[in-house]
Amino acid sequence: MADNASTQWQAIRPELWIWADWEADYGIYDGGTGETHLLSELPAEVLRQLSRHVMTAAALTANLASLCEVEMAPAWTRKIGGILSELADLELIEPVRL
Amino acid sequence: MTLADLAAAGALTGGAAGGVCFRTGPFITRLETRFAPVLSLLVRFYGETEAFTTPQIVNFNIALHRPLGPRRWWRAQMRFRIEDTEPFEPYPLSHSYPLFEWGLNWSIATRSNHYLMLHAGVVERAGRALILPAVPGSGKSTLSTALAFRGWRLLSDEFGLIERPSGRVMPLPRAIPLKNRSIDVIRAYLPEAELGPRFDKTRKGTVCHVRPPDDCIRRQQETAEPAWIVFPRYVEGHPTDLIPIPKSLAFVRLAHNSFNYRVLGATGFEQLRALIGRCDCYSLTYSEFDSVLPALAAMADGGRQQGP
Amino acid sequence: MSPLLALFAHPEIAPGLSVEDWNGVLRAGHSERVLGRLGYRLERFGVAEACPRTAREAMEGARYYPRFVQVQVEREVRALRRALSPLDTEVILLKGAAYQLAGLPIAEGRISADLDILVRRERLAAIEERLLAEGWEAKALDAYDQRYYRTWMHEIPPLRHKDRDIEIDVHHSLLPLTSRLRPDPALLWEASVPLETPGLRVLGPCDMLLHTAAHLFQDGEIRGGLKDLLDIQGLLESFSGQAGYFGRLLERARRLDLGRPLYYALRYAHLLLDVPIPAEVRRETRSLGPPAPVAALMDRLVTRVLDPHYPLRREPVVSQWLLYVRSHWLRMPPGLLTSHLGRKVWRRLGGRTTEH
Repeated sequence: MADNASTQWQAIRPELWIWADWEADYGIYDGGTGETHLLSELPAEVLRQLSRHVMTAAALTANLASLCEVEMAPAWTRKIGGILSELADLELIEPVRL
Repeated sequence: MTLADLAAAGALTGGAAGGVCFRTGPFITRLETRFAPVLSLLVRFYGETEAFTTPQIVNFNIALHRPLGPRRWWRAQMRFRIEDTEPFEPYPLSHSYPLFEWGLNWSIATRSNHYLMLHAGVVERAGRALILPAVPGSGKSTLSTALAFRGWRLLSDEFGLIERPSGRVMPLPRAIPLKNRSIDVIRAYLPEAELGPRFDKTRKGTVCHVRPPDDCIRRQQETAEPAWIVFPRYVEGHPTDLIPIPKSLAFVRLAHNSFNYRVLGATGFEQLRALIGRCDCYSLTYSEFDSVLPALAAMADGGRQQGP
Repeated sequence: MSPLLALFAHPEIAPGLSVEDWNGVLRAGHSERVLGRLGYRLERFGVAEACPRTAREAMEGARYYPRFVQVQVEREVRALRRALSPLDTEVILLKGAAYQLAGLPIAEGRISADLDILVRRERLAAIEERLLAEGWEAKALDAYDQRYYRTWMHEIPPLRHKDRDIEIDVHHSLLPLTSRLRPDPALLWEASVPLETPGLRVLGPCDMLLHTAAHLFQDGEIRGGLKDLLDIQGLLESFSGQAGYFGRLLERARRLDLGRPLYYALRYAHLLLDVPIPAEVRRETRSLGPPAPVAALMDRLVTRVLDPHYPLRREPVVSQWLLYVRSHWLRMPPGLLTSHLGRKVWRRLGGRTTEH
């Protein structure tokens, strides 16, 4: 999977997602795969953003940094990159093919 | 008309070759067998259940028949059939009754997707249900038995049937199979409980069934509002420890303790989400009945848990 | 006609069924695993509410497993497209996946645990290589079965992705290379219809029916055949309204050399499910059928196997065996038959099931 900052990411069929909202955790049922996932705040926010707009990894990382009031640093970028990679493995998101 | 009435009228002598039709919680079961020991235990455990003499649309057509040929007599066997299928290997004839109970469980679990089916014991008090998911090492059957005889109505020791769209729990009261050590524990703790015969050397060790109290059979169509989900864990010598757990954790654990959560897809997710929403969720570690039973009663009689 | 078939044939009788009829419907429906389909069909015909509660609950409950499997099939199709995208090749979806992705009513409540696809023969090796590279694995088969698949049947061994449960069967023709009947794949491609999703196609309406007919009456075993007969009913309902459909169907059957399966498909859809077939069509297809004594024998055998009656399955073991032998005879040149059948029987007695 192309992992650079300018790769565009999109949610896979977010209209088939159902959310459950508990305190600091979220449950999500994905009708596209039949799987259920438990997510913490940050991955849940990544999904929420990608379900609304296609975005590059760079743009997403910047959005989340400002939302979480965190410095844009290589560690943060790696963290978000890791989350994108995991969500892609779960077939919730995918890089946009040109 | 109950099974006991039918038996008293002599309708079951000579075997139920034409099939005996009776209520099993929300289901109607038809059992065809000529094997008297199974019928007599059926009447003993489920005497109070509704029996039918007029034609009914049946949920489970079960037949217990001995094979023709050598295995009829030599190392005699019993075969379980549901409709047209024999899903299991034959059992030794002496284990015919556990085969019936286990086979009926399998039949319910594989074709009742109009419910969300939890693998759990469920008991009720003042119209509200306590759900005890069956994690390994939970001692759920033993605990359910103790609760059933100490202030709670048994809804089921095995199946938490959550109906749609109400989200209420449907009873499915059955003979409770105790295994190995639990048999002696219950015999000692509940002298008033009636135990059936011991079946040794089954696939699950020694099995002995507790006769469900008459009241829970008579009220088997009375649903309950789910109120508490408690994940029990028996640890020898451990004091009773009832700790609230986050809903997200309860959701995940309960999803893993369900017969059909995954197959139900979006419906299962929504049902489970709603169920967790309505219930206070706890983790329980215990070892002594005299300590854990009052603790659960206090939980039930106390106010609602604080927090979401 | 058993109550189950009668209800599929004439949903409007639902309100009038007796308790005994419903018991027959539910028992057979559970055995044949068609209660989900029945529920959707009764809904379409507006009679679902008229059914007794126990039956409605059983039919509702029976929808969930088919729906779950269909989600997995769609997921597999997506993964397949991703894996094959570098090859820029098209794929024809067959059977359940085709009905599902084409949005046909017969897909509702239908269970198919495998994904069958048709690809061009010259791309077969490249496709197999791509799938193996992307995590699919060939079913573990001994050397004999590998040879059976590659040389004598019409597919590479079934593939399953290491992380998932759905099996993909990759075909390049509809029937085995060694079969006496050889429908030309080029004709199938020519008549195929693209889906909205790029790269995916389905067979044309006539070919869809002929393929199902060939599957039920010639290709492989005729076990669980009621499901396929219901597919034939459903496809006829979906397509026979098109002007000139039967005419095209007959012509197509001759061109693809599938006249015999078409004869059987129309005969048994008509005989067992009362599917309306115009009299002149029935006359014309009779000439595609076998000699009269064979036709009569087949009538008896097929009726026994496909029309579930209770008490069931004690007798038709013989009928099913005869049909099984017959379908293998059609599939393999005579010399090979005995050794292969011998092995299959040994396997079956050994307790390993080869069916899903």
